[in-house]
Amino acid sequence: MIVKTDIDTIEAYLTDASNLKGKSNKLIIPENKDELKTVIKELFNQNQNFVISAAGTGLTGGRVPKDDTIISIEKLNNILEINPEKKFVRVEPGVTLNQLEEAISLYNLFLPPNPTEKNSSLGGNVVNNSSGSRSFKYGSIRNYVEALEIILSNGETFNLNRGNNFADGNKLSLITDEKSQYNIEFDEITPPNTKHSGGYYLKYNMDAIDLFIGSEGTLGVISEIKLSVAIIPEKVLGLLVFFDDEYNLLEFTEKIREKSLITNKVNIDTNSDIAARLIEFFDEKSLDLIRNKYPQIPAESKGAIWIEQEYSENFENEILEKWFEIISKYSLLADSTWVATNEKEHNNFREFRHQIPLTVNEIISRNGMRKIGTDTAVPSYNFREYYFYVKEKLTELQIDYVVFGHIGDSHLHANIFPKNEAETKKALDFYEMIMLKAINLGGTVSAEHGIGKIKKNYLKMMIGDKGITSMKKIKNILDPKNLLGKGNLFD
Amino acid sequence: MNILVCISRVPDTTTRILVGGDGVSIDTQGVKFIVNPYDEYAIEEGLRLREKNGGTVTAICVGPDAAKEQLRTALAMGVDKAVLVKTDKYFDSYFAAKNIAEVSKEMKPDIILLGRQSIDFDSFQVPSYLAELLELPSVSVVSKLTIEGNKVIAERDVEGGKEILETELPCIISAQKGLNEPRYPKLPDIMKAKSKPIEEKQPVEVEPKVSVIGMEIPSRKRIGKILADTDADIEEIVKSLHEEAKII
Ligand SMILES: Cc1cc2nc3c(=O)[nH]c(=O)nc-3n(C[C@H](O)[C@H](O)[C@H](O)COP(=O)(O)OP(=O)(O)OC[C@H]3O[C@@H](n4cnc5c(N)ncnc54)[C@H](O)[C@@H]3O)c2cc1C
Repeated sequence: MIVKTDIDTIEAYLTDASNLKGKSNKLIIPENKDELKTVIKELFNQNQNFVISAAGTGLTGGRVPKDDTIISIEKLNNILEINPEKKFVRVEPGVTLNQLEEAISLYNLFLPPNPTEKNSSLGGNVVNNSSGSRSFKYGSIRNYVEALEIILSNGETFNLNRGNNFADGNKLSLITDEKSQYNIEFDEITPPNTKHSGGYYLKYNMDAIDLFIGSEGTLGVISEIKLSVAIIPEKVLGLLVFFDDEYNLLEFTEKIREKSLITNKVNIDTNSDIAARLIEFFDEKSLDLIRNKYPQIPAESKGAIWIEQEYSENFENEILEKWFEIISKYSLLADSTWVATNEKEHNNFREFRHQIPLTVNEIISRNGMRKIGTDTAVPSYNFREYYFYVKEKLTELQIDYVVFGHIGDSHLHANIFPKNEAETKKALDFYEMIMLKAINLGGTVSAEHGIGKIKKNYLKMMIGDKGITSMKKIKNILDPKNLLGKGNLFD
Repeated sequence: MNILVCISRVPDTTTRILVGGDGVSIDTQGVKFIVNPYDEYAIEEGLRLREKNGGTVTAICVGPDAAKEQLRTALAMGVDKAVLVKTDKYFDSYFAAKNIAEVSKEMKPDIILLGRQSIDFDSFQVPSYLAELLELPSVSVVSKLTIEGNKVIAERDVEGGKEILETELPCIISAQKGLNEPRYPKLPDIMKAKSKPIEEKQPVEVEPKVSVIGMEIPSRKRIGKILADTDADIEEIVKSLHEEAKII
């Protein structure tokens, strides 16, 4: 076990990718699971509050300590098992997405949701219910969590397998390996009809494991994860479609979204129709941002959509023709649609996508300001209203911005880059307006980044006092001393 | 304009390379192959010349049957025809050049474009061999190309400046990064590419001029050392800068 108390070492653990900064005077780095358990028990006996730190890529200050002792799980980073026959993996929580992808690709396997930040840990992904570009077809990581080992703040352990422990209505009964029984009676929280990462999952007859997915490190420490994985599809088609008109882009998106929701249910081997697994959006400003790196972007583009489809070689011709047909209907730039069919070309597209947040971050640090970025999503039937509201407010703001993101899930990131304090203030007002609008339209204030310490107010606006009380009740039962992840989700 | 573009099939730059059991070739299992990145500039330049002057672009590759995939990529970028000189054995630069030369003698292209080097063996030899075999002028590592009528002006980056050369068609040009920005395959071109034929040819067998006698993976040296600012570590830093890096 490594224990650090010098400020220089601890410094690196006081923030995450949100730039929120905290305070702590002790960092503990257990080197295996037993050490992790021992530390937790000790802290429990000392009534010392603690926070789990993983890769620190969180965008909401989740791991940022508030005078907590920091437990970093960075050394719990072993892949314990890869089972290609049964298509699952077992990992320690500190394994990163990069590490997992590299290891399982040798077995022709992949983890479908695909969160963008590859340095993030799987433990972090599970407690934030992360999602990514392919979540349009595959949903968030929740759908892939098969089993979890969770250490409670008193050091006792739950081993939960999906399908083994359901709530009876609103009553959950959980037994630790040490034979302590926890009886939980909860009030349901209805989640928005969108992709969502904001607060506990509480649904009648729910599977107990779902309570811990998305719990943002407040209910227990994830110490082992079993995930189901999928076979890499035979063929993947990538398209980067440029549009000369914003309205046509939106109409095209709606058409292919609607269609793909149906065709994605058809077996790839028999499907000859368009079926997008990923639908990503770049507005004109996003394209402008990277035009000098990509002079091939057609000059007339008012926006672009990136699509991926899994398909069988037998139907390649039909599928290409169908895409061309529908693209030609909505874009005068159809002939300029870029195509990727092999790994290298797909990587080019991923790089293209990646260049946008990267360039945004460069500008932000040049301006010496904080990035203001939204993570809101709304139900698809309200998307247009939401989209034009965001655009209108951004235009009024007169501060540099880009809008891009997971348009398949009606989930966009508006990134604003203020140049000074006055602009930052205006941008924050905008941020609040967008949050409220998303709530009004039945959407979420957090589609994938979580609530952490910086979006608590908005979560409250969204689920009300009743929702917060419902969560606190559970927190009280599982962590009665309130030691774990203090200040995440609620105060 | 009759344009010939030579492309080579090379392992993807991100692939981990292992030496095969024979010790003289790489283990190709699990290796993904791509169009040699420098050849993409040659393809793009060929397409631009066709767009300006009309004519046809033919891509040629000397390689195994699997190299059809790379020829398909060239066709998808907009090349009109493709030729595969099919061989399954290992070959040297001379063999490649000799076989391209044989096809060129029939085709009589106005210009032959290649990448400056193949990133697998990095021999840089094919363009010059080809020029010699066909008795044509050639300019290598070109970063800007202008053709007016028969006159060819080629720019090369040289240390601290540019070198500008003039020659005449027919000629051979090898492409440097920066010559252009290669296009992404476009949807209509991909669809058209499917019906474009790939002509297969038997190779002319020649004795290799060079053969590989051994391959080795470089041993991985630890390159980083983590030291802090304690007195002992500072001494260690000074010592290694002096004795290992020899810079102080
Ligand atoms: C450039 C960029 C792109 C991103 N893209 C996406 C994206 O596409 N989708 C998405 O969902 N998110 C995205 N994120 C956000 C972030 O990567 C995720 O939230 C990720 O899950 C955080 O993981 P981490 O290991 O970095 O966790 P940390 O930041 O270290 O911690 C996050 C929270 O999880 C808790 N935690 C971590 N591990 C454990 C554990 N084992 N047990 C209990 N609690 C734990 C921490 O206490 C904290 O509250 C992005 C971030 C960046 C910087």
